[in-house]
Amino acid sequence: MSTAPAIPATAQRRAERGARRRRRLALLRQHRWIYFLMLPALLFFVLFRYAPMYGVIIAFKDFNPFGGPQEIFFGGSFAGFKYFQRLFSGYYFLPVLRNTVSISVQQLVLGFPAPIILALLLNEVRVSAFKRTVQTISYLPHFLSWVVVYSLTYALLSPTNGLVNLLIKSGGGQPIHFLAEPGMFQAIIVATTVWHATGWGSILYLAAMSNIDPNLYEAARIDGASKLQEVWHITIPGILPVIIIIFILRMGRILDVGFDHILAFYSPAVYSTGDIIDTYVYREGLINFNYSYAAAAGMFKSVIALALVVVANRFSKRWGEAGLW
Amino acid sequence: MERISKALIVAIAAALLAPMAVFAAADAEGSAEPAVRDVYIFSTSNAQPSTPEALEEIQEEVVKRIGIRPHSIFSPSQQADEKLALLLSSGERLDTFKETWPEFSARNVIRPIGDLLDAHGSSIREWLRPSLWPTVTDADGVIWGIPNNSARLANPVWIRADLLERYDKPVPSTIAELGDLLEFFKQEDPAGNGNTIVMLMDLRGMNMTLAAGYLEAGWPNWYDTSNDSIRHSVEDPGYREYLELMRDWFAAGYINPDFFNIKMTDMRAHVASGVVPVVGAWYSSVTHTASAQLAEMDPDARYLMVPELRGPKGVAETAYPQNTGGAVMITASSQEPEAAMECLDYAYSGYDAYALLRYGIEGKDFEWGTREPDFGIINTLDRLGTGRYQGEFVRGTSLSMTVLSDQFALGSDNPALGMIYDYIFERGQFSDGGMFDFSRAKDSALHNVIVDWAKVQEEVQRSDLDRMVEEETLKFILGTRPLSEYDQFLEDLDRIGLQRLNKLLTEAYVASGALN
Repeated sequence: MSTAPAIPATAQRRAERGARRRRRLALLRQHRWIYFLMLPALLFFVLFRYAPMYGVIIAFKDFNPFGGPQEIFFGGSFAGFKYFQRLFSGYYFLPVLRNTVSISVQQLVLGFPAPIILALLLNEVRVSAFKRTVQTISYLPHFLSWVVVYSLTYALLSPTNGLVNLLIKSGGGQPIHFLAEPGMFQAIIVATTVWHATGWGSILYLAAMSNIDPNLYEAARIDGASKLQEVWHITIPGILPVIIIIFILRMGRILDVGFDHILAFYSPAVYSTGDIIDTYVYREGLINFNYSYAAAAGMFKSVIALALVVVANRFSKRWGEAGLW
Repeated sequence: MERISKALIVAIAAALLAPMAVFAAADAEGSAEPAVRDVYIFSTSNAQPSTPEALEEIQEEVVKRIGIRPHSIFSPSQQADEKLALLLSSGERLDTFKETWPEFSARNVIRPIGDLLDAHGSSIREWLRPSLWPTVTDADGVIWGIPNNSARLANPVWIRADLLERYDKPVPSTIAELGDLLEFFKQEDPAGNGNTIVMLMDLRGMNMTLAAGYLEAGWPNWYDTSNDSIRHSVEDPGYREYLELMRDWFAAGYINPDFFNIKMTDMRAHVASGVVPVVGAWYSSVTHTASAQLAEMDPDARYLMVPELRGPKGVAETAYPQNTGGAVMITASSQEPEAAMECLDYAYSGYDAYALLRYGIEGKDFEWGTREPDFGIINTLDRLGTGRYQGEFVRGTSLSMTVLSDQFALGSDNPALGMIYDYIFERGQFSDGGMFDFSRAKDSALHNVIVDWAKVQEEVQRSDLDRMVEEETLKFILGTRPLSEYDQFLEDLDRIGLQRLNKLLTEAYVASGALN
């Protein structure tokens, strides 16, 4: 008696599942061309993003980098966590991690709000010729390679004939080798990053601002809101979802502090404050052929980045804002 | 209608198949000709790569002469290590490259070349300095590459002779006298307005130029008989004294403040601009065009090499070892190892062959100066400066370094390069000693010892040690770390494996027979 009602319930559930599957298939068939359009992107991610992840296996093997591609699949003996142990006990691991986090936090604190502020300022400019000129000038640094930026910076800061030091010398002071001062190196990196990225980064926020309903501003003005109140109560809330999404994505790259940037700028004199995980991995992997060790360092970095994205996404949702998933 | 369709299909099929038949016939005809073999060469340069037209012309000329088509895989020098590593690890086709061979033989990347030398390397065997072969041969007698450099002295001290005459100063013979001279130039400021760079140096060359004057042996290793062990030069008590001197010189403003990241092009520009009374760096910073450019600006200005500079422990310069530049190797995966060896051997078969591979087409890329048909003199050749060809098809340094220079060598009549060839061939102001006058330098204990660095890497994180030595010694010189912490520095080195490294190097040293 007691099992009698369970039979129809199971059958009903099965029927519901069948119906759901049929509905899904019908939807799939109905929108097949839309799904077909997704195919190239899916293939791209599978081939170039997911499949290469298999390569992390070399962090767990005694990998010979010159054994050819087949070495990844079949070569090298299993090394367990040997390279991770070597990494974490390495003399330079903690300083390198500290530098990476330190530069990243500075870039986040100073570099993340900069394009938002620039976009807010540009949004208030009413003379369109001036606005376009400022926008163009602020976008230009984005198109300069870091080697060119280094050359420009060196021309300014060179201890022998840099403009800044010529001024210092003409004032009777002693030249300062800015790029060789460990205490100044991170500040130079952060400053050049902000200069390089702010203009370009503001494009997204300007686009988001253009989507805000102009009626809201009009209503606010009728209600007597000041410019600052318009910005605070309409513009910023209007672009907040974009800010949050960019912030979460930025968290995923928190340990990417600009490999080519640092590589162009650093020297042995500033290793103590300028050596980051990426330059360390580069030296170990590509210069010293220590691929397994470099892969372990790279994987460590990726795991941290993934954890930060998950945490940031969770906080974003908890505060009632949009999340990545 | 159906008949028309079938006819159309047949016509289309015939149209598709006809070219294949033509190509097949051409191939069958061509098979009577010996097939041209391809050789892929990894090449690097500080300059731009050659133009495609020049490469093609030279390729065709080489094909005509030896039936081999060389291909260049080019990389700028700054990224050469990374690009080579990526090429080798990706399985891309590559037949020959130049590097330090023990790094690659240990990883089975290259193949032994003894058999290839026997079969196709007669010119290399004939003309290469015999003393170079041990540098590319392992303990089992296996030859892994073709030597491309010889031991040499490349970091002398250069002084502006015209300034010495102007101020009636003698050529210094000791580091202490050199220090007095630097102080004099600092005070005199010959370039004016504080623009004098009293002594131009770079970090890499600094130790090679002066450190040995304070050390038991040349930088960076010596054999300590008190404990029968190879030791690093930083463990030599004299090195601390040397660092103290460099720190004082830097603080006094003698040394250029950007010495640790200065580029060769900038060094040459400083020399050419006439603001540098003393240079202690790689020889070509003075001898390669810069001194000639300086003479154009100021005909009296000229550099002389300090014939011998001594410190408290003897001569100050360290000789570069024979195996510093490594060897030209053939990859284990080479599809044409015999053709690769034939191509390498061709470079040593005569002046015309070498000039073609190194300098390009006569009349377009270079002109002969002196050109005798027989060996026995130094021939001269001048590049036309078109920049068409950068010498991608032959790797290594000039023949003057690797072959018997008084029998088979190329120089230049170009006055701008006169000094560099005078230095190499030991003539003119260097007739009493130039690049090969080993009496004015010391050797490092490991100069002729072959070390299996791949095995060392398994036990010691060598890159950490190298970094600590470079970074901390630089801090001591810059004054950002006090020398009172030198013992702490040595303790830190021990903590990250210096003594383990010393033990492994001692084993290699003993195995090399150096103690016998």
